[in-house]
Amino acid sequence: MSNQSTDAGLISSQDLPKLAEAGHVAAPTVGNSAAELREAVQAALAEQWSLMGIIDTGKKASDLGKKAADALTDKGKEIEDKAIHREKDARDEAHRKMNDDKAKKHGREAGAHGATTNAFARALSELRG
Amino acid sequence: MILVMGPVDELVTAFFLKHLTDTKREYLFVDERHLGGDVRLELDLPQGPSGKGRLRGAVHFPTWRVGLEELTGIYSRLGTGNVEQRKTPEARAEQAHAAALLDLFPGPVANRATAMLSNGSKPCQYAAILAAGLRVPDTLVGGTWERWEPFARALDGDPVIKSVSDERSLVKQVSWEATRASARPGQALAPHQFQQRIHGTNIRAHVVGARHVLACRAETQALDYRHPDMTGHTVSLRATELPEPVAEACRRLSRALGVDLAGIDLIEPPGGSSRPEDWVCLEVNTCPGFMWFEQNAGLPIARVLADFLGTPLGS
Repeated sequence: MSNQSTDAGLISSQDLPKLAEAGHVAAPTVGNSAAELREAVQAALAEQWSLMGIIDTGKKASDLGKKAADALTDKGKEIEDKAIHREKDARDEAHRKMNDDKAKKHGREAGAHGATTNAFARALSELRG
Repeated sequence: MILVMGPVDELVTAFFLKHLTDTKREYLFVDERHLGGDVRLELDLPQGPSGKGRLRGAVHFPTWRVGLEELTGIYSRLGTGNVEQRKTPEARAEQAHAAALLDLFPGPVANRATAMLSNGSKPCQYAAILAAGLRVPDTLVGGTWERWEPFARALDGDPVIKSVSDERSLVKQVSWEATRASARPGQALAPHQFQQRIHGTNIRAHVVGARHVLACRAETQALDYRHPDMTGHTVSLRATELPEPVAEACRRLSRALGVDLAGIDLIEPPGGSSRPEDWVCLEVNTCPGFMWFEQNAGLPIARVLADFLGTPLGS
């Protein structure tokens, strides 16, 4: 992942739900040392950034297309509106999936734990030394 | 050496790992998909007096290991992203070990599993926010129609509706009529949180180690600045300095909640003020996605966090 690609990969708020979904890139191999692990991490990051670059490029193209259509005809505006709705639906769906996932992972456990009391916080602090 | 845990392709995890790589820091990474498989956590907390070095153990890989004593701090994004969790007993045991490590590690941890729970209930957080000296919005959680109506009618403008927990939600302003129209006869209100809309400027303050405050202002007409495009608005993020009494209140709040990385959502009153009691705190995000703020406002959050987590205990 180069600095150049990082600078080019500025993320907008509307990209976040889509890009926040992990699972596109496999976990890096652990290797035989911390150095080997870090090399594998760098390769995974490069792959991740490459995926993000593709998404970013597609978004820019989509934005340009929208502007051109809007400038030309009312029909273009209608298409843009539909695209915005689709984008909103996609974002809502991404949020729903993320919430479902979070609920599955944490819901019951977090609820069972309840609020952290001062006494509990103190006990943890003592355990840490 | 900093231990990072989370999915390698989750955005903020990847962003922080890239920072560590670029700055040539020593780090160890555990992808949560390896927990209970290629990676096992060994923890030993023997009986005896508290003190440094009591918690012993290691991060085990198939052919090598790293002792906990080599770690200076931990950054966790476990549970973020949409990674499919393995359901094997081994994987579940390692997830429990990871949560225990986050809670018991004697050095800095962003963030500890128990400390993050406060974001599961915004009313719970409000107790800590008020104790830190900041204001909170007038709030009604759930409730009956008998309580909702006088609450909504007493406000200046329509109330804002948002999630009462850490569920993601788009903050919206809802009218009394629209809420009433959507209700089912005889049914209680759904468990949402209704609040007075606060006018002023949105400020996000990231607090690292309850010490370093990195703030930016979000300039937008949108009600929810995280999703300005949904209402046809734009947002501009700009780094800013908080008045010192307000920054100190944010430090107190982070310390009280026990979070080493906090994303505090504030509203600066129109015209500004240096008095914390004039500033409204909407919530404290205990797992903040700081990348967006760093990229757009130029705040060096990753560097400050890495410095904090990379400092050996006691130095």
